[in-house]
Amino acid sequence: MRPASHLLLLALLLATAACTRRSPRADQAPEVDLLLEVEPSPPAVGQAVLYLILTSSDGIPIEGAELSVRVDMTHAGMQPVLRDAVHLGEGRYQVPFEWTMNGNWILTVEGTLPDGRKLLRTFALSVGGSGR
Amino acid sequence: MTDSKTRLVEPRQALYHPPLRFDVLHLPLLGPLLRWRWSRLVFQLALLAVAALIVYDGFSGPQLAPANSATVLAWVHYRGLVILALLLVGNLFCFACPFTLPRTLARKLSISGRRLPSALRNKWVSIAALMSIFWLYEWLDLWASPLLTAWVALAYFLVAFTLEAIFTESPFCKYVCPLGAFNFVYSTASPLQIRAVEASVCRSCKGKECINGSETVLGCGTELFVPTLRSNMDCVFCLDCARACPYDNVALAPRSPLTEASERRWPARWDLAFLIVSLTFMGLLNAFGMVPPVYTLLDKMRAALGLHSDAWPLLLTYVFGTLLLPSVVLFGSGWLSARLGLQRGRGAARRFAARYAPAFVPMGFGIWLAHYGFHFAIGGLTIVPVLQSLALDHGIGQFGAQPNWELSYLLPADWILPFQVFAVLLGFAAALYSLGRRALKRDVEPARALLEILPWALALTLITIASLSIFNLPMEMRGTSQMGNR
Amino acid sequence: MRKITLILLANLIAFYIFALPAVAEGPGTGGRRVRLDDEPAGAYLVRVVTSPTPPRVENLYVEIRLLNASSSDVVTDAEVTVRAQPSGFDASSLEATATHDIAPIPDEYAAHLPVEAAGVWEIQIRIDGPLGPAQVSFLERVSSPTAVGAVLSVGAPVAGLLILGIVFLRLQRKNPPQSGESEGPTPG
Repeated sequence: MRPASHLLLLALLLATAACTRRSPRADQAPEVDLLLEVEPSPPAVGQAVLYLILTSSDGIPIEGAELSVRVDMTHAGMQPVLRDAVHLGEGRYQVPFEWTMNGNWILTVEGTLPDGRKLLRTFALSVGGSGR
Repeated sequence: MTDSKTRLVEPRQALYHPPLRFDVLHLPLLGPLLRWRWSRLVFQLALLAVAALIVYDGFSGPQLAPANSATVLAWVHYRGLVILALLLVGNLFCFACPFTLPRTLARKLSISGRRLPSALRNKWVSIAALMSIFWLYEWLDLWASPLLTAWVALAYFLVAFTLEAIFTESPFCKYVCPLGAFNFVYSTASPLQIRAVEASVCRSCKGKECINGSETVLGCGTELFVPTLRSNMDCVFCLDCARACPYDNVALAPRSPLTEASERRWPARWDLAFLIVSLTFMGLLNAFGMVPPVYTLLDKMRAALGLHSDAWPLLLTYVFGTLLLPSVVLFGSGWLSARLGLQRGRGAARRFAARYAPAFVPMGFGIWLAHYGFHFAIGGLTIVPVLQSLALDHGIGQFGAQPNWELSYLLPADWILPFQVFAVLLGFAAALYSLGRRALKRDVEPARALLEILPWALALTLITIASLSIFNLPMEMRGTSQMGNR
Repeated sequence: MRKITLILLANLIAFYIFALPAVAEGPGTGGRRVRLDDEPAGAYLVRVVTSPTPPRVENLYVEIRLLNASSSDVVTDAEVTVRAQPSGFDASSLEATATHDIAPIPDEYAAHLPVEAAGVWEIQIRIDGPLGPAQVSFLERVSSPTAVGAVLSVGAPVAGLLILGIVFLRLQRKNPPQSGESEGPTPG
């Protein structure tokens, strides 16, 4: 039964590796509101600007957060776009951007709040239409 | 000494005896490695590790396709590398296939050792499997889901193990596996093929170890007999025949990639012919699934059927594109070809289909090369940051403190569309060449031969126009499920 | 036989090599592209999107959104005219009225400009609305028409078919029918 024991060993190794795998970065501030605005809207191929509006649960703008975005298409093999956000004030953060292709995109916002907590949010967007 | 009652029998001509130019199995370094008893196992273990990574990362890693090795390895690297391997060498994936590794265990558990029922010993099951996997690919957005990709890999292991445990003749490989069906068809256009070195040696061989196996090496799992081998169809490239042969009389020899498409006689079977033609249409449809008109089509179908889900519209599209259209082309062209060739009677259409359908092999090859090559060219290097990220997730920082997400393209972006157009047109040219050669080998006047191949040539022309049009359209990567239409 | 097949193959490959550059122009990234992003123009903010990408001869669409610069309300009752003027080469200028009818977004305006030549065009947008007149412009490079690429995408395969036919008809004239098949036994 050597093949079976080899397979069992492989399964055990994988299970061990899975236990040691770093957990996906968690959102430590679920009560914080993050609103995404995209200009132009609806999104179209070409230059764009992303606005992230960060407010507390009381609606108070959060200043001084360090935010970055990672934007991926949904298909494997597509290069992601990584950008850091620029703080504009009044809880607004700006990310100059360019949509390079029509289709579905996943936008992941990661950041650190002024109190040190980590923020992680994901948005799904659709760029372009299905033709004229 | 003979007497008047003894008839002297002349030695029979070899069934197949072209000159052997060189033998890969006797090249320095590579030859001994390939002939080594455990070489296949080594490569299978390597791919097993890759499969294990796909399952592992698919279940435990980030559920974002560009950032997960499951989706990157399966839908970018496997597809790109398998088509390149078929083009340049042969059926390397089946050679190194990890899904059959549990075969030894399965055989120990073998319930009856029977063959698959004869009704299933054909290509129809693998055609259905191909259609199913492509439909699922589009409906469930397998390309965008690491988790589902991992489940697909596990399903392959499970199905392979189950069939191997119950039946002999490697039924999973020969009759079921959609990857195998794809590889078998396009390996008929590969530059290398197994063959006997000297036919006379095979004639005098008693044990036929190449198919029966020897004490240490199994014989051909798909029950191909080397002296009669004239095709790569059903050959998994395992090289067990070469290892088992006690006379070192099995070679891996080069040949023209168009030999099978343009010269060899194929069995007069509808399932084989349909597989070839249908795979060409599947290539078209797979590419069509990424351009704007398909989303418009799906929107209209959903509206017309009053549905929210894309399952049925996609299924109808696939039934039309991979079943009905190929049927029309194959059966229609076969019938028309027979009539134009002044051949009637039972089986005429089937014989003409078997004669001319192989020309679709290079056509389909060109389309698949254009599509899979595209994804490999634009995303081949993304595996580097994905693996860096995987390592960092496990506290391994030796491969970089940060993944280098700038890595993506293997080829400059400007090269990709010309490459695609070239692949499709070269496939079309090779297909027309194959048609022409096959027609000219008939004992008819060239004008009559031209009429015979006209239906096939017209079909190939339309397919080429369609594929060039598709590859010229801008790509849109949309997941129907992500749009809430699952 | 060998010579014929070599001629057939050589003809097919040569044709495609020559046809290839024209076929492989590509459609670009397709879709719409933002050209002006809330550009101030008088009392308006003007956003302009063109399509397709790249725009091609006889195939340039311009979509315009007007906002009231002070209130950010969308302005839907202006008269918007779009003019295309060649920049640095000879061609006829073109003018069209942008309307809501062909705009993908009903509150916006769109116009079709079938420019007749490839090159750099100055696209001028004139607005005459409730907040007064205004004008913006930008430069747009228009590429050669895909019609050429499309013709060859169809023409190259059809030409291959014709070459096949010509080869066979020439053989019909010159060669007798082939004597029997030589394909041997079935594989596998």
